[in-house]
Amino acid sequence: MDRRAILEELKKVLEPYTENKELLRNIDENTDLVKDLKINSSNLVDVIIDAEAKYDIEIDFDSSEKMITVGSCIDVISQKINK
Amino acid sequence: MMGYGRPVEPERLASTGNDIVALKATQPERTCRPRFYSRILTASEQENYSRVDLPFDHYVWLCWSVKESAYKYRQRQQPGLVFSPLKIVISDLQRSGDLYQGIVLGGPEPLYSRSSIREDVIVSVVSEDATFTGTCWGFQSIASGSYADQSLAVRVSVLQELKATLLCQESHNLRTGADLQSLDDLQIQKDAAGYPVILQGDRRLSIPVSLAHHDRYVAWSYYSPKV
Repeated sequence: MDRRAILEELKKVLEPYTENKELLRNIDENTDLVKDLKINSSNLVDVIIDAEAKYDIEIDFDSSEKMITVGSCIDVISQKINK
Repeated sequence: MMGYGRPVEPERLASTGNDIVALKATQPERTCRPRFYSRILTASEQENYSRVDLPFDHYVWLCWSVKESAYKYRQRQQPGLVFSPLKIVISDLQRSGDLYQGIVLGGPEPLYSRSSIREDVIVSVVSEDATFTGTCWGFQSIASGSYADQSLAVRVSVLQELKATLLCQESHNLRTGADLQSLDDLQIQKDAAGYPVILQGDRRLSIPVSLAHHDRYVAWSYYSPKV
């Protein structure tokens, strides 16, 4: 699964927690989940658990700390998929 | 005669941190799954649950709101800090009258937490001072849960409260830099590091402020001690 494919699936993971759907459609690797997408911080654990289910991976605590931007999310997911 | 005293430690930046959780916007069943709460609660916090008379999902979100408050408090002092709930440890969390109080470890100094749990909302605030002298905090419900409405409502509310505080504490306005003649010029903007600051015109006031919103609730805290 390449980064573009991961990004498209990631949009589906983020969708329930993102109010501005237009912004979500146009995210790139620099998009910050909280600052740009305005995802409420209380939903960040939901995002991680939904990503685990979507990609059939396990995201450890240290890795989940890094999931701040779309790009860092893709880094973590990509690393876990290819493990 | 000059002496050599203890080296003077740099004064830490005054701060404040708060958070709010609207319980109706959470998923109780999911919250109670170990896969979920083990990302928020440390082993010691899980053990402490038996000492707190709350539904478990409320306890998880109570701890979350305290940790988020502590993160906001410390982010002002350590820009670039990453929120890591398991590295922020709450000790001695227990009910005291109408509030839940605890001690937050995992930073340079312990922080003290106070939380209020109403029917469907949890509001928390932290301070380095166990008495919370000078820390003002509050919350209110709003009609809409959209981000724009939350953002506007919390700013209007906190500035309204702050104006009342400044008018009551005229003597300390020399320290904060506030000008009582132009309180309508107060506004809140985000610092480059991402936390909110209070401006009067183009001057930044020495009043740390923290904002939070979730669903149809907004909350705020600010630190403005008398001198």
